[in-house]
Order: sequence, then C-alpha cells, then structure tokens
Amino acid sequence: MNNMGHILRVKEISKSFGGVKALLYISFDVNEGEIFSIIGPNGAGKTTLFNILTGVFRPDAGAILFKGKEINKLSTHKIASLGVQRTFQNLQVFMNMSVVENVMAGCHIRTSSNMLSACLRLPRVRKEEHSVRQWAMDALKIVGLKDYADKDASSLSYGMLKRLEIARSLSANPEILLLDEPAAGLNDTETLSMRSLIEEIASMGITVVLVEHNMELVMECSHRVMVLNYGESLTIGSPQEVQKDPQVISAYLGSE
Amino acid sequence: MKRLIGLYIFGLTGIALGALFPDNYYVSVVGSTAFFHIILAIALNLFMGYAGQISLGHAAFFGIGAYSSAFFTTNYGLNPYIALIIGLCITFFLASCLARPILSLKGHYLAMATLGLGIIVHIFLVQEEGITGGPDGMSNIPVLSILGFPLDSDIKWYFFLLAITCGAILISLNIGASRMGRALKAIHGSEIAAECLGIDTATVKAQIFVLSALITSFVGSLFAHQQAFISPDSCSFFFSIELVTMVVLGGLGSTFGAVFGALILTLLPEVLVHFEELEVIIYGAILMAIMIFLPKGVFVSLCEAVNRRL
Amino acid sequence: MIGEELIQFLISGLTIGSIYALVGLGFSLIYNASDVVNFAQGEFVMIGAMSAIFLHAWGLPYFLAIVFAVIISMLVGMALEKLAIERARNATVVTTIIITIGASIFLRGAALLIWGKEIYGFPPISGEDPIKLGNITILPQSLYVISGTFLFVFLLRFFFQKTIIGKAILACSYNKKAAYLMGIEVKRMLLLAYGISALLGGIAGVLIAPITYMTYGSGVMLGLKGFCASILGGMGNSMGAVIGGLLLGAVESLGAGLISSGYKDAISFFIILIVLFFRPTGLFGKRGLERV
Repeated sequence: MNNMGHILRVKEISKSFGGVKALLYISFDVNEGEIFSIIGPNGAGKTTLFNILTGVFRPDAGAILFKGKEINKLSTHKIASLGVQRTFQNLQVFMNMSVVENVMAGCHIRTSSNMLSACLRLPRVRKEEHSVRQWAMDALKIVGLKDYADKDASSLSYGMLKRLEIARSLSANPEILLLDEPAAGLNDTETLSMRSLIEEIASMGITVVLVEHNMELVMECSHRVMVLNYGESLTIGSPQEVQKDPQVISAYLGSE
Repeated sequence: MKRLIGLYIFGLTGIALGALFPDNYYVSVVGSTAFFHIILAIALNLFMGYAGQISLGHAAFFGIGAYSSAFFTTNYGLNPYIALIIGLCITFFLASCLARPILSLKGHYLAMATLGLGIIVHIFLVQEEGITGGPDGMSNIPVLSILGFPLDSDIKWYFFLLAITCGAILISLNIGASRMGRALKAIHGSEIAAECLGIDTATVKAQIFVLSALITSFVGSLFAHQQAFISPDSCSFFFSIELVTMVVLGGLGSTFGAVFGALILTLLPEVLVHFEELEVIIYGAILMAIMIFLPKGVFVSLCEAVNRRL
Repeated sequence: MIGEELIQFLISGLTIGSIYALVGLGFSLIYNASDVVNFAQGEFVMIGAMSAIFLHAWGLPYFLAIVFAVIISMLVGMALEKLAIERARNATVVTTIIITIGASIFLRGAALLIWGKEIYGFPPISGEDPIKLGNITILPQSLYVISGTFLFVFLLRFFFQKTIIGKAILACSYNKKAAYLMGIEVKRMLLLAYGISALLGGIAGVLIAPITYMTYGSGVMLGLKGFCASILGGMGNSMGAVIGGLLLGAVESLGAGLISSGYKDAISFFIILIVLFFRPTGLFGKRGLERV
C-alpha cells in the first residue's frame, strides 16, 4: 500500500459513552488532496469521529496517524497546530468579535508574539498584526465575506456564519480541513456556492474531509465516500460504488 | 492614531483637571481613588471581559500587595520598591500555582473557587495579628518617593496615579488588539473552537490570570503607601464584588467600559454619603437593574446606541 | 476525654451543618429549576430570622411569629423571581451571578434600613438549659435544628416524588421546553421553586436564630456556606447538598475545635478548593461532556 499518499490514517478507532457504542473499529485512510466524505444517518457517529480526530475526545482504542505521526494522544490545540482544522455542526463562531477578528484569531498558529510583547506593542507585534490582517482578508475573500470584514459577527446571517467559520479555519493554513455539515440549513443557491467553495478549497491543495447529509452535494464533489451506520463503517468507495452498495441502501431505506 | 484616541482624551482631561483644580477635594482625593479603581477594573476586565472568566476573589491579590508593602517597609524598614516587588513575587507565586487547577473550573465552580480564595486570604489577614496587625490593620506606612521626590501631597499622588492609569489603559488596549487578545476573546466566545484553532487555552487563561493578579497586587502596594494605612476591610469579599460591579457596569470586554464603571462607582458613594443608610440598598438596586436591563453594560450600550445613530 | 470532646464538636457541627444543608438544598432547588446560582439565598435565612425576632418582639406569639417569618421569607423569594430573574431569562452565567449578588446586597440594604445595625437574639423553642450526658452538653435547640432539618428534607422529598406539583417542578428542571409542551406552566413552577427555596432559607433562619445572634449582615456567610454545601455535593444534586452541608458543618466544627476557631470559615473554603481541584464537579456531581 502506498503510505506516502495518505495524509490521514485512522486505525481501528472505537469510542463508547457510558455503554453506548458510538464508534466501533473504524478504519480508513484519506489521500492527500482528495475530498473524502463521511455520510450516514443521524447518530451514526460522524461528529464523534470529528471530535476524536481533533482530540476533543480520546478514543477508547485504536490509533490516528496524521502524516505518519500518531496524534491520538495529543491535545486538541497541538493537533490543530500540526495543520488539522475543523468547522462545527452547530456553529462556534466567536460572537463577541468582528468578522475579521474571528478570522484573525484563526491565524494563531501562524504567529508567535507573546503576552509581554503584546503589552508593549513592540515593532515585531505591529508587523505581525499587519500580516495577520492581510491573511484574514485573503481568507474572507475566498469565502466571499470581504465586504463584511468590520461588521460584528453576530450581525451575519446563518449562511454567512458558516462561511465565516470556514474562513477562520482557512486562515490557519491547514493541510486538512474537516467540515461538519457545511450545507445544513442552507437554501439551494447557498448550497451550490458552498459546493464550489469546497471544490476551491480542494483545488488549493487542502485535503477535505466532509460530513454532510446533502447527498447531491456529497456525490457530486467527493472523490471517495465512507458510510457510517450505528458506529460501524459499512463501506468505503467512489460515489458510484457507494450508491450501488446494497448494505448502504438498506441502511438508508431500511431493509425488509 | 485612531486606536488610542480614547486614551489621549482621558489623559488630557486628567491633566487639565489636575492643573486647574489642584486643591479641589473631588479632583485630588476622589480622583486618586478613582485612578486606583480604574486600574483594578482594567486588570479584572482582562480576565473577566476579555477571557470571559469570573473572579469573585481579586481583593485577595490587592491585599497581598498592600500588606507586603506595609509589612516589609514598617517592620524591616525595606525600600518601598523592594517591598512592592516582594508583594509581586508572592502574588506571582500564588497566582501561578493556583491558575491551572482553578481555571480548569467553569461557571459557578470557578466563581466558588475564586470566592473561596478571596475569603481565605481575608481571614488570614484578620487572624494573623502578629504579621498583619489583625482587624486593626497596619499604619505608619512610609511615603513613597519617585527618583527622590516624595509623594507627600494629594495632588502629587493624583498626577502619579494618572500616569500609571494611562499606562494600564495602554496595556489593556494593546493586549486587546494582539494575537493574545484575540486568543482570549476566542476563549470567551467558544473555548472548544479556540482550542481547535490551536490556541492553548489553559496556558493563555493562566497567563492572563497571573497578569491580572500582578497588576492588582501592584495597585495594592501603591494604595498602602498612599493611605499610609491598610486594614482587612480594604480587601474583603465585598471589595471583590465592587470590582466585579465596576467591570460589568461599564461593559465586559471594553477597556473604557471598565474606566467608566470604576469612575461611576467611585463617585456614587460621594453622592450617597448624605444617605449613609441608603447606600447599600441603592448599590444593590443599581447592580440588579443594570444587569437586567443593560446586560452589556452602560458604557458599551451607549457606544452601540451612538454608533447606530451615526 | 478526647472522644467526648470530639462528640461535642460533632454535635455542634451537625447543628450548623443542618443549617448549611437547608440553605444548600435551596441553592440546588433553584439551580435545577432555572440554572441560576442564587447568591441571595443567605439573605432568606437572615430575613426569616430577623422577621421572627421582630414579630415576636411586637407581641406575636412565638410559633405564629415563626410561621409569619417563614412566609415573609417565601414571599421575598417569589418577588425576587418575578421582578429580577424572570426578566433576565436569557442571561449568561456571569450575568445571573451578578444579578443575584445585586439582589443579595439589595436585601441586606433593605434589612439595614428596617432593622438597623443592632445585634438581636431570639429565644429557643423550649428550654435554655443544656442537656447533660456525662461531660457532653447539648442545647435543646440543637436537637430542634437537626430534627427540623431532617423533617423538612423528608417532606421535600415526598413533595417532589409524590405530589403532582412537585413532579411538575422536577419536569421543568429536566427539560423546560418538553414540560411546557406537556402543558406545565413553566413560569408558575419557577416562581414556586423560588418560593420553596426561600421558605427553606426562612426555616433555617428561625431555627438558627436562637443559637447564633442575628444582624442584617448575618446572611452573607450562611449563604456562602450553603453554596459550599451544594457545590460539595455537586451542583443541582439535592441529597448531595444535604450530605455536603452536614459534612461541611462537621469538618468545620472539628477544625475550629482542634486547629483554631478564628480559621473556622477558612477551613470550609479550603476544603471546597481541595475538593474542586480533584473533583471539579463536586463529590456527587456528574461529569459533563461538552457537546459540540
């Protein structure tokens, strides 16, 4: 097997919450540069999987390798600083900041000024502020929120907040981006532009792992799809293969 | 520079008042008290407003600073600056040891822990009469000198404290518009999202807690010298609550909100002094009313209203 | 000898611990019903005690004075809910903490205006002479405090488990929306929860008044100790609060007797800090997972 191409390797991950098995021996590899989607009914364990990948939860068993390095024992912020970024199913935008500040906060790992130099606002800090703002504006431009930079985050619409969260993750210069239901709650036009945004992100060389309920979106933009059901991985394959898989059909439509 | 315009207005007003009315009680005496409160409120706002945490025990650090200065200058005749630094060291040691366990707590549990810390320190100050003079406190704390000039009048203190206050405002504004400031606000907004962006939330929270405590201890030391007297009453649970009130009165997270809140709460007792018995009830009523009707704080709400008009 | 001393400390510890338990129970009741930690809880104790003292001084018979005092305390609690808490329903934790701290200061200020700064005593329910068992002495009032506490804890349990209103309040505390959809008047239940909680405070006040002297400021420390009790037991865990209160009273009294009485209050808070450092959600609290 070609190890070089796998940016993320998940090996036999299990997790249970007080007797409820949320994930059971999940294994999959994500290739560098691809859009890898995870689908499955509600409660299948998709968000739990994201929480484990980002270190919010610890897996009960199994290992996660990011670029060959074991990350499942690292703290969340450590994992993030290696280049793993995510968005949230129920938005976690910083409502106490402006739009651009939100995105500037995303640049945390690309900068290094500390508390003392911030207090004194050394020339180094001023220079850093300048480039951070530039990076933030670049990210806002990608998601199409450049004109809202100085508005309060709380004044944005739901669809815009979803984009803002993506911009915030992008500004951290991730190597892999985990998107948790980016199209949930969006109307058709917004979903369409979300799809082109996801494809644009992939074209920038960022690997995308996508959790999404909108099948059209998933089938059209993914390279590969994994189907989860009750914490178990049913199948992994191209969108066409997955759509034909009888197990998947029965999981979604119910079996006789 | 637009960023610092508020600071310039504040500094110039302060200088003008001091120069025009040097003998006025409300300027030199009440003004100096106001400066103390402003710095304390700014320090607490770093922790509560920026980082979204809560402390009901900040008076403890004030007390540690004040009593270190009082104790080492009167009992050992140490130089006030050395005493002040000893106070800062004690505060640094205590705050950094407690920061991580205390700050892993959230909400009500954090409130409880900081409250407990404040009360324990207060009881220590009352009980250890051999060190602290007990409930009577310590007096005859020597005058502070700057480069050989003794601060021996109210108006000298006024200008000295004005300068320190401007420094505190500058530091607070600088932190607000920096990588660390954004990290703090991110923790306030969503701790989990902050962590997922690569922010080491535990460390950042601990750092701001220690910084806030150090500033508070520093102010305590200055206060002891200015009053030449310190007693446990100055660092009680009620004083911690007063500091919290200043911060939320102006508006959490806003440096000038803290300035505003501290000014109001300094002037209020002066106004209410004729209604001594009413002071407590009015104080409580204001606190409740503001939090119910203007939870963002008076100053911040005012600014928002003005912005909407423009 | 040492054994007798210990028992003596333990008895006075359980007495004051019962009061902490009642106050802590009030905390946990309000916390369950409205997610608010009511820092004014201690003021209910003070209001109960001071009202009883004054009603009695004005010539009301002892038990009538107690009953009216408890009712006054309950009404104050309901007024607090109606006038302050209800208006700030969507407030953050920090905001509600400050609102209730404001309420506590307000009530203390009102007490200062009405009753002044003097210190008052209140006669015990029966008999001032301590009961002697060997070298151990027990105040009859201590027995009333302890048995009274157990009685009301039991009554409250009965109320929540057997009566329809009690169950409705519990339902609100589990899930307000679902309770509302089931036809429960959530607003009314909240009001009731505050009333009961203040009632418990008032009872604690009239029970403790004969043992410790009362002033307008006596509520602060009692309230904070009750808060300690409920934190110790795990916020929102009613029986935890009762056990926490008794435990706190016992340890505090032992500490005061064996170490230093001046550090009595410090000991309680020290214990709380240690417990929180090792079990951040109290002794019997559930460990929550943050949902993302």
